Amino acid sequence: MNIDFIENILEDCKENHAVITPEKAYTYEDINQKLKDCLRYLDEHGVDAGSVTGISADYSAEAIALLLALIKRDCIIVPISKTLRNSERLIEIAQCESVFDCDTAIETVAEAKENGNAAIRFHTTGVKAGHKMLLGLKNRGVPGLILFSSGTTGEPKAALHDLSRLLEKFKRPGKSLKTISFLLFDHIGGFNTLLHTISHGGTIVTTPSRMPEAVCAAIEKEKIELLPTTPTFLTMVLLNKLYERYDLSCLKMITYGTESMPEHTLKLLSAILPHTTFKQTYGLSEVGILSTKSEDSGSLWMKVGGEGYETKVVSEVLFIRAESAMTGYLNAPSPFDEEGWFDTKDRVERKDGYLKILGRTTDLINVGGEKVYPIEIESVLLQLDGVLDARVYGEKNPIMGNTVAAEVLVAPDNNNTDFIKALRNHCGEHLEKFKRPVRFFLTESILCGERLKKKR
Amino acid sequence: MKETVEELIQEAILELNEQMEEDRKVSYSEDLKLIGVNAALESISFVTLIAILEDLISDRLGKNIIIVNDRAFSQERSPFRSVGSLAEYVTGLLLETE
Repeated sequence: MNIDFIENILEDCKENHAVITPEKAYTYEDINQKLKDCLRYLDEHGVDAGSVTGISADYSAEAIALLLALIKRDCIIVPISKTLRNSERLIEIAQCESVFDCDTAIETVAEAKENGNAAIRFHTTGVKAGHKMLLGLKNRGVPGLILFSSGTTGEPKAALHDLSRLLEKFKRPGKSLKTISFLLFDHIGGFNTLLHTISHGGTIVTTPSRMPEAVCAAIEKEKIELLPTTPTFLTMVLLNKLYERYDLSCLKMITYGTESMPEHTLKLLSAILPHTTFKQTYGLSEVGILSTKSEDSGSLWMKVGGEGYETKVVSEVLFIRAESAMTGYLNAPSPFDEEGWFDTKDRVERKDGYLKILGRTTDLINVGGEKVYPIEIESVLLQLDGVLDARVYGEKNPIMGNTVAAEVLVAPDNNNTDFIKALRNHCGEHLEKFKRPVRFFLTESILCGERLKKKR
Repeated sequence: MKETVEELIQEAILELNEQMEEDRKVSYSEDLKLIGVNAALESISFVTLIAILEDLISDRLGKNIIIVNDRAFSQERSPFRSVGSLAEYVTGLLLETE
């Protein structure tokens, strides 16, 4: 497809930094050069329009240039993060015909060739993509994007997007802040951040690790303005008092999403970083990223929608209809109803046009017919001194159907039964009976997965 | 053993009482009816009491037992009908693990 809106930026912002890695800073001119290299490279390897192509990479100048080249060539792109263990299976599900493996350590394709060392390794898989949705995109001559939805059970679902539609919104002029890469670009949030930054001449800063310490160090060093992140990451910043060790006052905005934010955590954060705007984001692999507007920095109420999006709430559950919604899943039935509405499975509360996400309907714990949202309980647990983090979930119970259980992160001094007693009393004061955790498990290690999101 | 279990049940009831409203607090007696019609406890409080008791047993006696299991339901007379029958039932479970 025509990517003039990006190529113009590559020309106009020549001198600006596009990507800053721990080793090197790359200007937009560098990216432009790499884009040309990559286009040549695609020609040499016969990667044509409509080919389903995997990119196994983390953020790097090469990966970004390759992504742009594949968009320009109308390929169907399957970004695969290097940290994934099941990448082979994902490549199979997506029917990848070829895979690029980007090695972040090496400079350019041309240099790498000279050194006899491939910055970008390429191999064909022998697969001929035959899925009718893939062929449909190919016939229309538009680029595609396959993202995997992070289901906790069963096989990941491959959501196929028409990239020409998804990219439409980046053509609108806007400003871009100096942004730290946090969510990988195989995630709708990460992809959105990357494309927004690149199409508006902004800078992406990458870190060697996604651990809070490394990220905070980079924020201070590079004077980062925008941190797109998860509530779990922010909780870890609070726990380790990283805001005392690193100057985070350069942050103009912190956006958080992908999971529920405990109200208590948000209040603490906005008090610690009074000059930073906190904004909740909302997006799903299936429909893309919606525009949001938080009521204020310390509030979980937000307006959700924006151009090309319609929302409705049916029995407390949020439904979305989007122009840029995915074409469909490659390996699952269509989740859209006849009118094109998508059930987000997010329960919401409404107030004067604002929404508050209560949690996934699937996370809801049914205690003898009463509904309990883990986030509410977690927020109460976090108020007790000594509680560093908490994860609340349902446990089967022969009498109540389910009861509430809590895994609580504590310092070694508090790892004892007296502390459980204190937790019980605290919940007794603040929660209705059916909401109180029946069982507490104390732990001294963190409660999240590799994407810094709580395991549910 | 039964005496130890009775003491632990007593302690569990005290701990449960700490999170109960004044008029809902229960006092320990062997005849105290735990579950069913006219029981002293609502089912969620009963479930919580059992969880507290299991924690106490694990903490003091080093034994991890599950009190509310299929067997408890298949008995002709519910072991949860009173504090006395609960003590007997739990003592039985503990002796089996020895």
